[in-house]
Amino acid sequence: MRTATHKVMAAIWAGLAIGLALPAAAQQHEGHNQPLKINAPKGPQALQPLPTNLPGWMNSRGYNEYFYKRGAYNFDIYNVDEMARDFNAIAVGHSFAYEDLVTGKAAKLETDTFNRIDWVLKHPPKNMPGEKFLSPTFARKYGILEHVFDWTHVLHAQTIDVLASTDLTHEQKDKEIDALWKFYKGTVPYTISGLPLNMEMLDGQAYSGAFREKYPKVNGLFWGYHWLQGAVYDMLWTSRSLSDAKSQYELVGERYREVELYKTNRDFMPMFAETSPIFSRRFPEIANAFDNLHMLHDMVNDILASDWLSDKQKDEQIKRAIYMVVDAPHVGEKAGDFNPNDPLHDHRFMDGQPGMGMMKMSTPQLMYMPEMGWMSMSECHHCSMPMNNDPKRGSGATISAQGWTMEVRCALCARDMAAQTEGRAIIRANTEDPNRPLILISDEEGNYTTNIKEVVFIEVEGPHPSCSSWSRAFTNRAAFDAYLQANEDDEELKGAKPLTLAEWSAKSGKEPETYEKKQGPVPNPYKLGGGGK
Amino acid sequence: MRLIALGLLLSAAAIAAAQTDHDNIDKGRPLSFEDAEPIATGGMAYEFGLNVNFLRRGRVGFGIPFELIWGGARNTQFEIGAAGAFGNRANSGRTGLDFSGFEVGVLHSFNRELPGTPAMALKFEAELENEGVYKTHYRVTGIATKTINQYDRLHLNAGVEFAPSAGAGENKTRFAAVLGFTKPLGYPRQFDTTGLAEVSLRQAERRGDAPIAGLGIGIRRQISPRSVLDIGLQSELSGRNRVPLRLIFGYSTSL
Repeated sequence: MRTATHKVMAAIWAGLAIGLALPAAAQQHEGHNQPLKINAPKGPQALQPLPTNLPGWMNSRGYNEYFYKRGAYNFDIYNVDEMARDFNAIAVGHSFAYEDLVTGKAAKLETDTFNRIDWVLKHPPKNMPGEKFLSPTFARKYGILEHVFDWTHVLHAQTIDVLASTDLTHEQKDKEIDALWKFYKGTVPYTISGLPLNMEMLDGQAYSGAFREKYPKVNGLFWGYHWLQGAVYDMLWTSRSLSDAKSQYELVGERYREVELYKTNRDFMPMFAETSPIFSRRFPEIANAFDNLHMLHDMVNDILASDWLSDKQKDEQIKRAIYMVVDAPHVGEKAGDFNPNDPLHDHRFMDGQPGMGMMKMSTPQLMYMPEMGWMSMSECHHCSMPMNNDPKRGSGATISAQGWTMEVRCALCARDMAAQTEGRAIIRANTEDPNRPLILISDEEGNYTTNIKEVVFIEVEGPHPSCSSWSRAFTNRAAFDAYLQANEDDEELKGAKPLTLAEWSAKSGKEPETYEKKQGPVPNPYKLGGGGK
Repeated sequence: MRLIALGLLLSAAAIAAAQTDHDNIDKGRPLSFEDAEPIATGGMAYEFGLNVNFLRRGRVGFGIPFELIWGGARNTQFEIGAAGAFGNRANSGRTGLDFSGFEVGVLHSFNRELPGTPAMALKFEAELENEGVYKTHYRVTGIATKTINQYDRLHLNAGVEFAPSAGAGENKTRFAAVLGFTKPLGYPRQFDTTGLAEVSLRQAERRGDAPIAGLGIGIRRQISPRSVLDIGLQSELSGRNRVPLRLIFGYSTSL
């Protein structure tokens, strides 16, 4: 009976997938599901000219600064003081590197500058310093860029403040973050586009890659900052108390300070949806804007590190880089738009993840994620079944470990995937109550602490097409009983016993029969010899 | 007038919040110069001070200035403030508590600092008459801010004051200039303190009196993301009614 049920479920899933895919495919432009071929020649001959239709604000000489949106939540990042201080140090790190790059100290970037920044990262300041005061030469030369950075950093800061607030309900936070995005876009002209942009194109400029090649340690710091700036969003989004946030940040902050800051072997900058997929799906424009902002940082770094560019060319190329990521060239365009002949207007996004644009050699169905390989963002990363992480469904989870965050369909998938990963992990799982997500934090041995003391699990392992039915977490025994009662006709759930956290975490599922290892056109598009360069 | 001023002071004190930066320099906090950068559009800041004036012959007087700054338009800030005084005065025999007239001002910035070009702003101020004690006068000040030695900044405030109701023997037009210097203290490990120094010169009120020269030093320290404490010392070196030593304490915060 159970097998028959699962076959029916599998057939329904397959039918749904085909049914959904067909009409979408019919509307798509030819080549929509193919990787875009992007030529990325390097050097002076490949330098693109400055567009002639730059928006007027790009030549403004004024301060043009605007005050942030008022709200009682402002500076609530300090509720998690350790996190606030780490972010304060990031401002110093950005500024010191930029200032030294433009004041003739680039030769010592990997030594003196790195050490100076590292000291601050290890002794983060209590208050957020003003970046323009820390990098006055850079601000004088590239004031417009400073405006773009600052205003988007304000959006970063305020969204984190909202999420860290102890006064707002989750619903109020959701609404306020929407309001912050509107304020961000509506107040000043110098905002970053919320459209997904093709990262391969942005990283395929004549100067691209110069900074990471010349200054791998400082580039590692930049990408470490951007990792943290993404990683805290799902952490805070699933927190329902300060204690939830602090207990998670203990692990996230440790990972950031001990590993992520000092990685010099990343293939590409950390993408927002790779570290906070849930928040990215809910607020795709914000996720895209942050990725585009971080890409702008990379482009500026590469321009400043390219000695073959004259000062005038650097100035022009920085303006061109700004132009590519702001709204001006994308007026009237929308997410999903695709022009196979112009990668600047490739606004496709990953299936199942509107908060992530196209990556190197990716298609909407398949992307290469550093350390994880080729993958689909619309499928469970443990059992390859289609995802549906709507918290109202009461199933679905994410696992954060080793610097990545992956989505899975059920509690078993989360536990087993975490168990297969070295080191500590955070599992964030939906329960029957959308307002009470389960947060499990493991130690090195896989022992979990939980934010819900009375948590119980159901696990009647069967085929994975229906794993989100037979493997779930509940906030208490009564919710478990209610679930069984509501599904009393489901044969496979009959006789299911509630499992305590200790019982559940001691279990181990079988290798999912549905798991499919994705294969891309090359093993790693970012590695020489892998077909990517 | 006193009640209004006191009310403004108390209501402002009750609303303390938001981001004021120790690197942004406002007049009176703690010295007499300011930088050419306006408050962000839409921003609002409150500033309070306590000045202890050590006068000649052992006399002591106190000042309690306060000010509200509002970024009411792009690159433009509007100011309203007043100052209370009690104890001995340098230029009168009064000793009781009284308040100066409201002072209103508008600062407009023309440009931020660019390579080779200082940040420039122009400020108009009017100090309004109050109860016949303080006469209305106006001030126009040009402000330039320029970075030197990478992180240090020079601030030149040069202006002219018009006193249409000046009495016989008094200057109706008085010139004044302050050269200010600011330096972040603690770089590259601490980022919350700015040191300040100034040299000032202004024409005396009475015709024929020597100009009043002054010196000042101070610091501004960020004490929270929203607020700054400042402390300063000023000394007027010349002039008939000079204040030999002024000790200044202040607090700035924004909403």
